[in-house]
Amino acid sequence: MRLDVPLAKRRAAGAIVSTDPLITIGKHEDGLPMGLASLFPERFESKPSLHFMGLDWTAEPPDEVALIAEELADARRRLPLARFVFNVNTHYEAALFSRAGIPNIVANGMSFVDERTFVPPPAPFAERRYDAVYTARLDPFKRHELAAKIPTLMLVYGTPEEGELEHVKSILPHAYYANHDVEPGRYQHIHHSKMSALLNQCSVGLCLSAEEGAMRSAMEYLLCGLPVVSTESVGGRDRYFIGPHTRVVPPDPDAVASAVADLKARAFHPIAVREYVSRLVAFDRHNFLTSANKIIERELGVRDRFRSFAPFAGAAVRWRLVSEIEEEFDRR
Amino acid sequence: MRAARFVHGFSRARSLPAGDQRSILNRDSQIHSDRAMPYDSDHAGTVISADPLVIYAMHAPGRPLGIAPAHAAALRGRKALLLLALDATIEVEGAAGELARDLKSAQADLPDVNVVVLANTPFEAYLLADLRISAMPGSRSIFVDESVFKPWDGPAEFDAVYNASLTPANRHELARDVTRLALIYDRDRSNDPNRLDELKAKLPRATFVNHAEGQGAYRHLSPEECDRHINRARVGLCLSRTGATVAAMEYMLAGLPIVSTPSRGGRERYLLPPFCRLVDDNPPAVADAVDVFVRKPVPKAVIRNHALHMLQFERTNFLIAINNLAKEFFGVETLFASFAPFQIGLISPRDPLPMQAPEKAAS
Repeated sequence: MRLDVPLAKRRAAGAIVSTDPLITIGKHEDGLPMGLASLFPERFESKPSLHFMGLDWTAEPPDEVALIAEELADARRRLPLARFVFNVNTHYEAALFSRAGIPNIVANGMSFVDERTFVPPPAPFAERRYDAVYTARLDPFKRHELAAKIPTLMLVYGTPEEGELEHVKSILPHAYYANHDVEPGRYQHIHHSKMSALLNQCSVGLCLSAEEGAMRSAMEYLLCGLPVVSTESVGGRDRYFIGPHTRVVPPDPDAVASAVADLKARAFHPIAVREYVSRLVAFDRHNFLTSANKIIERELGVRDRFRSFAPFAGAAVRWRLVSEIEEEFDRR
Repeated sequence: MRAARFVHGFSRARSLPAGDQRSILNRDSQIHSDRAMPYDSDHAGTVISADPLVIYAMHAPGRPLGIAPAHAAALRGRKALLLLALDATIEVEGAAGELARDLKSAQADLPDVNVVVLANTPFEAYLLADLRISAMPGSRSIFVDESVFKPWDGPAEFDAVYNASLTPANRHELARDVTRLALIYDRDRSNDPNRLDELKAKLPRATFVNHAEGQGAYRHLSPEECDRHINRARVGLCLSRTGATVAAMEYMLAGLPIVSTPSRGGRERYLLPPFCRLVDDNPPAVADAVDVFVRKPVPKAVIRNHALHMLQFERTNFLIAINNLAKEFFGVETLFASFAPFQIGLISPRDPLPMQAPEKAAS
């Protein structure tokens, strides 16, 4: 449990959802294998705690689960009073984790996206300026080149690494680079509260990586009422890709562009898209809450700790400054 | 991909009654007659894919792998994926540990059989993970046949229907205050011959459908008949403390809202408002909740569409996982292109499918 970045500058996903009993939700990520327990280990030394942890990357490829099992064993030695539950993104991950003896429940990270932040525009709906939007780091694994045949395209992204912006611009010279438009020539982070306004200028959301985790932005598109075109993928983002508003296509620029054109032409009512996925999310949240309460009762002896999903919405999947998270030890 | 029963040979397989094809799933409701698979001493599971071999079976007392010992022995040295459903919840004290011990012992001489427990709740899967047993969500309710359970037009004559065997665990007494009540039930599994008389005394206004249909003698109802009788009521009841209660999904597919007491073991997974009212364990609370739905009915099509939406979601994600397991165990891409083999193999009302001996399946 070592941090390679000074704590004050570190960002992490998660929240202290209960101080009595002590319960956190966080993410298994680089440098923080046990989420918030890795971030603040001293706070969990002297009293029992329970930690729900999502996965920031798929655990389906071979050997991933064995590594997590080792990390779990280390954490149990370091914090014998702490209990850990992995929120896995797919049923298959559940089978793999349970075979390895790692406690888990299926609780796809996409179901934690805050539906109050990502909303369709008020009616009447304005014309959408872009055929598609892709919210994704400019990292090669996101395969921006698969969007090359889409006529008008918006890109929203995290801080690019050196050379990434130039590389993507060479592939997609016609795209609108939203994060460089706020202050021309300089990267500017776009706060999540401003995201809906951007997404609502676009007809279709894109998911183009071959492998990652649950992909939060796929749910952001759907909650804003955008249909989604995704390539086949590993990691769990396809959990919600049922029904008429989503298309899963081969990793080919023509197939992507054709599916975008098709879904755009169908002009789904944004509320219908949001409503369709919201029912699935409500189902998943209902089951997360039921399971979480049972686990809390078993591990910490407190019955029906959570009556609503509200403490879990949003914070579990949004990266924040560590100091913001730490304040919650005293608040809740 | 052909669905077939996994049995030792053709002759015995063909002698199995057609009803068994569809009765594997539920021990709680009437459609699971006394011929129901979990209690069949010759039970051999259901082959979902013959080559590679994928079997669905139901864990039951004395049958840790869900298949009778003779059939289990036939799996020795064979590579197979065994999807093991649970006939009773393991969310009760000690049950998960007992299941884990049974499974480890049964699997000891079947090293090439990969068992994945299909848990009725995520918490069941969690408990098994703690014991290093491969498990994933796979509720029995996702196999209910929506082409059998569907809404019928016409006025409802009962306020509520309860489709549950007459065992004390199902707590029929909690329906005491429902004015117009229909009961559909299996033959009594409680080994208590007085249970029917006892309930008739406690629920004097209730219509005991199976005996009414048999003019005083018990008559087994087909799933289609069950659906017709479910449609004679406005609300479906779920009153036991535990169990997957597949009947809840049957009610919803038939378009009925549900009144349920708190429970463990699976049905709570699908009981979301506004189509379900969760009430305390007492007769007035049950009757009041029924009354709310009777006075303010929800359109049947809305409830059915909600159930179908959840089923599609559950089945899609189940199928993705099964295909990933098949890829891992057998190296086969997309073994199942659709959910159909699971439905056909498990519950479709039809004559026994052509059987396939395991030796042939493996060749």
